Amino acid sequence: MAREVTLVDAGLGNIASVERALIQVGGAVNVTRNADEVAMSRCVVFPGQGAFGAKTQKLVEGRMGNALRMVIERGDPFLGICLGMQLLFQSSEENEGQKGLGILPGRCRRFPYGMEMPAETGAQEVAPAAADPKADTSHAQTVAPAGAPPLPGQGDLPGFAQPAAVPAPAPVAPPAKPQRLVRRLKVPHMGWNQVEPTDEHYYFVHSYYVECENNDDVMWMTTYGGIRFPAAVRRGNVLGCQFHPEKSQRSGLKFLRAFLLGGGG
Amino acid sequence: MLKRRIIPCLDIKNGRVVKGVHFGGLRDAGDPIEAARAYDKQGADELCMLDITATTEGRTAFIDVIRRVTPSLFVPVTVGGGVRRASDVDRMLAAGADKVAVNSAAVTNPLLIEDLAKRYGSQCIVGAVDVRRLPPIPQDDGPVYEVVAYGGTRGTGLEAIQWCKTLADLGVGEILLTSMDRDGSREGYDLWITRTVSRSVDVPVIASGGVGSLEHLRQGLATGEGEADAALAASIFHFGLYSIGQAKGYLNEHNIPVRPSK
Repeated sequence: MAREVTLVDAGLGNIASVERALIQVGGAVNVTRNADEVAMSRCVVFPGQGAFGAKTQKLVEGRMGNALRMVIERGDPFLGICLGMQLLFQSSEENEGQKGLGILPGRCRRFPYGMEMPAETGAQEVAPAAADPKADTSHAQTVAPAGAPPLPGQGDLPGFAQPAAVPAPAPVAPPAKPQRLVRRLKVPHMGWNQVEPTDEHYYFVHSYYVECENNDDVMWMTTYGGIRFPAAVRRGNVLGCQFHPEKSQRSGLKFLRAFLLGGGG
Repeated sequence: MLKRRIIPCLDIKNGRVVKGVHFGGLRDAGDPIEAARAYDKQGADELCMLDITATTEGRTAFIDVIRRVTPSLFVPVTVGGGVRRASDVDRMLAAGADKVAVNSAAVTNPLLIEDLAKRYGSQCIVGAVDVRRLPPIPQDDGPVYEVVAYGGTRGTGLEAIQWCKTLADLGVGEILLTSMDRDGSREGYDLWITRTVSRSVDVPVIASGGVGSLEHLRQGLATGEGEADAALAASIFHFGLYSIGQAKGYLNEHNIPVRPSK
């Protein structure tokens, strides 16, 4: 029989795809905005997109916040997705006054502006386009001399070249030296990234990341712009993922099914 | 490491996939549902569907396509075309889209972007920018590009790089940059404008317009060339020239980090 699961529609973004994915993995999904229904649920998924703000503040302090805490404290399976995971923590760096549910110790920080990484192996700056619009087709482009090669082994590593989690302020790369080709890292962190230790790829979209105070709460990590942060957290019945399992194709469906089956990923 | 994305794009007219050249000369390229499923199976990182009809019937058919395509897809789906107001975005999201691209309406009413980003979140709103290169005049420092609107039928007088910066400031989560000169030409992306925009904004940039070979995808994504965060392509995938898997294999061989297709 299908596992009954309550999907919380807290007005924090589009939840249609989460609903479809839960149904796909055999969930009997009840979508609700009603805090009382949430409080009585035996299995809850709490998705959210965006950042801490007035809306989340109201949620955390209101009836819905109490209902979510009740489910978690009762020990029923709980999954927070993206902002839903971040809200499990205590606070956010920006918007000092904004609090999360405070289930797990830690806080959210924004990815800094101006992050850079070395270019992939073999990358070369192509010559600036000539003034004639026809002259800059791929065939006509001349290749400028290569800059210094990227740091050995860094340009093409699949994800976790960084030594260890550093819960210190994110390092901002110094301005690009002209002779070395670097690549600007964008915010939001958007797209498919690999998590450790499983090596699976999941789809991420977020501008804030969690700094977890308790390493035991971290299940999976991922790295972006030299910052290593939790991709998934877990404490007892509480599971949280920074990525979007509902948009992570087969890997994401597997993750959701494991949650519904009680394995927690 | 974050991977660079391959995004097959379906141009939809009256519920069918079509493909044109320089924003015109359309030919039929099949059923959107079949195409979307095939790309998903091949390991596409996202899917993009653009409505290029201008009629009310076309609009309704497009919403219906979104509704039929998305239930079996578990990758992000970006849709766009004819978005004028918040209610259009509402309809598309309700039909199952994850992100909505806004093009001409942003030009006529930039504050719409701010409103949409506040309402739905930046991650939901893609700034679609169509550009064309202006004829050079003596003593130009570099190429100059203008933003065009309404399917390339109207110039806007906006300089492309500045407009992309403005869109990022207004709150788009991503920029879909299409070269009208290259659209359907199979000459490759316009690397100069792609790279320059990508270096000028903090949000991810999707390269679009002109892919005719796997090498063009590589150029669009390579640092120092197109330097885009994602590569969008239509015809090379539609007409069975290459599969997504082949594209990723090629990119992987050439040091571009991509998600394995299996």
